[in-house]
Amino acid sequence: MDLHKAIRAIHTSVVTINGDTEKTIVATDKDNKEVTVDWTKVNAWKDPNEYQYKRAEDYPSIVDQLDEIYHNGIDSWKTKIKAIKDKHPKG
Amino acid sequence: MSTLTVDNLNLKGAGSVDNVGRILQVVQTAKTDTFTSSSSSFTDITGLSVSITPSSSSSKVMVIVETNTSTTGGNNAILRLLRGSTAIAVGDSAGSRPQAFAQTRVNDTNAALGSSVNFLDSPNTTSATTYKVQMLSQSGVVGINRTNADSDSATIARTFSSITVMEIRG
Repeated sequence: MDLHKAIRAIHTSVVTINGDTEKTIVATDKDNKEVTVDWTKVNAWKDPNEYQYKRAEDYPSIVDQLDEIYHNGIDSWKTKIKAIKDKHPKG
Repeated sequence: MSTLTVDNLNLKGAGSVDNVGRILQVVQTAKTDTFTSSSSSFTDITGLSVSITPSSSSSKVMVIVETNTSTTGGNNAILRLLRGSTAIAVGDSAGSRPQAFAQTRVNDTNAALGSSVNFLDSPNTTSATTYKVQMLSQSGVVGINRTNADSDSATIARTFSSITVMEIRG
């Protein structure tokens, strides 16, 4: 899980976050005051955009997608893109 | 090819050649964890600062900064280097434009961009001197040592940033 993103979603006053784990992370607000993180809520948070990141990671480059369309047509391209969408469904 | 061999070379006004250009000390701070900020004003990047105490006020200090930044969809991260509270290694003042050593913009949530600066400073002091890096976000969240999405994937890296200072005899 992206702890930084989860903390920002739960604690909207957070401006900076440093560190990578529950033990090391320090979050501060606009006045550079440390914000106490509610780890129960943070650890329970689900990123609503996670599927987008995973799809973006798997999609071929635009160049390769255009090449696919040129050589094999739109339907072949749609089949390949749909496979990635199905692999990482919304929600 | 010719070879010039001398026992001692005296430079006019600068003493022996042995006394100039020598690296007297090197200090580095390595940042291996991640940092994010949504501040639209310059904010210290935690763990990207280093202190050095020059042995002579005539010494130069070579500052080398390497960073990896990410931004939220098409927004800018702007980076600047400071000695104490004074910005150094910045572009000329021009209207309301921020003065910085680097600006990055990453459109891909799974990408990050490396930026670096090498600056030869003349701090003119023998007191402990701190160099640090600050960053501001045009909008959204800017990150150090991570991509914006920070996906847990074998093809999405966590990266490394550092600040290194070298005292060079003047």
